[in-house]
Amino acid sequence: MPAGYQDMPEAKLVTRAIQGNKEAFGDLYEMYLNPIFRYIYYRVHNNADAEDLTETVFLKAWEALPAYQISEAPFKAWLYRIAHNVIIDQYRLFRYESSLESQPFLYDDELGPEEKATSQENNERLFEAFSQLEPAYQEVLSLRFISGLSHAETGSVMARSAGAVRVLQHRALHALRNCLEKQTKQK
Amino acid sequence: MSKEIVDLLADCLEINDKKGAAPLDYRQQAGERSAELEELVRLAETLKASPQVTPTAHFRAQARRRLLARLPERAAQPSRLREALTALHQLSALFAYKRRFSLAPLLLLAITTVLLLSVGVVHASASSLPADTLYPVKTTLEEMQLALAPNKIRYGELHLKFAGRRLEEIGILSQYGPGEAIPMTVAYYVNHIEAVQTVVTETPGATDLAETFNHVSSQQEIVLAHLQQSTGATVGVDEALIAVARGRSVARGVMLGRARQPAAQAQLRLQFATDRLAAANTFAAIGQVELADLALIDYSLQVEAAVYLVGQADQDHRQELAGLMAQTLTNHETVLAQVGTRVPNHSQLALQHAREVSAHGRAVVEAVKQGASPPPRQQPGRPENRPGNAPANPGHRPVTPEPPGSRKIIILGEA
Repeated sequence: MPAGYQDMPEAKLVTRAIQGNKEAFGDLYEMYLNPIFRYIYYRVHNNADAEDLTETVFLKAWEALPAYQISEAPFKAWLYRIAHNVIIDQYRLFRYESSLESQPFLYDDELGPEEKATSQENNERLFEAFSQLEPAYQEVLSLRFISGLSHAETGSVMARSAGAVRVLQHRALHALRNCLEKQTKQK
Repeated sequence: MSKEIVDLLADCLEINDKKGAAPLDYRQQAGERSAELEELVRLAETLKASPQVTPTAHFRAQARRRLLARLPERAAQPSRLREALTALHQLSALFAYKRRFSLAPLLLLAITTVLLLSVGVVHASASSLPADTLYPVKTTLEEMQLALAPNKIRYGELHLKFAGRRLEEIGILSQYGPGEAIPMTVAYYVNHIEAVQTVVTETPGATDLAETFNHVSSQQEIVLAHLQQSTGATVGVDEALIAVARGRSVARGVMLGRARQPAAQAQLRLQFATDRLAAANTFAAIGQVELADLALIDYSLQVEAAVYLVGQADQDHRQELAGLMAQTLTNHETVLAQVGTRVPNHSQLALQHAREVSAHGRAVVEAVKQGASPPPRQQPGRPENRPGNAPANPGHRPVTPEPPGSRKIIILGEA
């Protein structure tokens, strides 16, 4: 991480990147690499694909930066919007299916063996239910709870109002709960 | 679907987003649906607790270098104004040439040219600066958008958007050194900010706008501070800093009005304190010592208010809130120490006070955590409701009343 990066406000980095400064864009890349990767990973369920797509997001962001206006949307929301579009494009090419080999909810290295087994079982159920939800529900849950975006930011990414996101979030959590209940009954 | 449960869930999750706390006073309001509400909140928390996946170490090690190598060079973009003028010049030349031969095709060409130029001028004006010929086109278009805004909230959103544009323009202009255009643009910026403030103040239901305004004004304050520090520009920038501080104060008032219970208000106060502390750290890092001091004073007031509100919270939630505050104030201690390394010795009064307030707050909430009643304490300053300011909570539910205050600290824009 370059020296001084933490002290430079994002807006200044963005302004420099818009002006064509690659190093400033590199700083932004390091700031957002992990969050964007995480967002993509939970949607595509594959490490290698998530890495490739993360890089694609930033390449597209670089191309689109001259048209970006700081006043239009926060940079973070704008970046997630690009990631959202990249994932949609990718979905058109491939249909991502859940598989036990690539379940993001499965791993938590900080737990002991017994807790790990229970946690894995719960996470497995959760992931299975999550992946059965319709894409918009997966999207809102992923942005809100996995990426930690606010209602307004999620709305900006999904091109919906904050109010619509609140409703969608409620429906998505309901749907997830119903899926989990269904699983329990089937067992 | 019950709108009420949707909003309760969203409010509950919103509070948890900010502080990681369990739902507070929403269970009662949910009534018979409280079990459902709790279940959904728990589900959301489970999703939040999902493991923090990251790219592989190999990928991360190479990531920046590889990405930068793949970025295409971005050629310096010719000015759109210049492009438009060049096109106009070329078309004029063509017109002069054709005049010698026939008039009918020329008429068609003229109409086409006018149409094309209209579109071109509008497009080119988008990137124009205050000193440019096309700048009035840009501002006229903005005025038209404002005139056509379907409601007050949209009107406020547009002003906020245009304030962002003015700030960008100030940033670009300042790269060319001081000039008459900067104070003029700052004045436009202040007008936009004040317009947003008016909308937030006078429009019931503008809480989302208030939240955005609070967030954006804090960001813009940092950009302004940077501009002032890096360019030495003082003309008007002080005024802009005061405007954003005042706007933020009003926005906070509206947010506090929306949070109906003392516990929720305490969490908001804590959030404001965290924001102010982060701003103080940034100001200190870039050498804006005075702004850092003001942010620290504001921080102290917010912490005092939050601690006071712990005492106002009902018994059911008091301990939970105290736990959250203890954790947050402990985190603040680290940032305060960092600020201490950046603020010069002769200007550590506000920092010292902030440390004391934070330490006192921690002591109080630790005692509450152990089951003690919070000690009676004088009311902290309420920047949002001081005389001379716009009403803090216009058209909204009243903020939980606080006892009369004794402290008089002047905060930027709130004197």
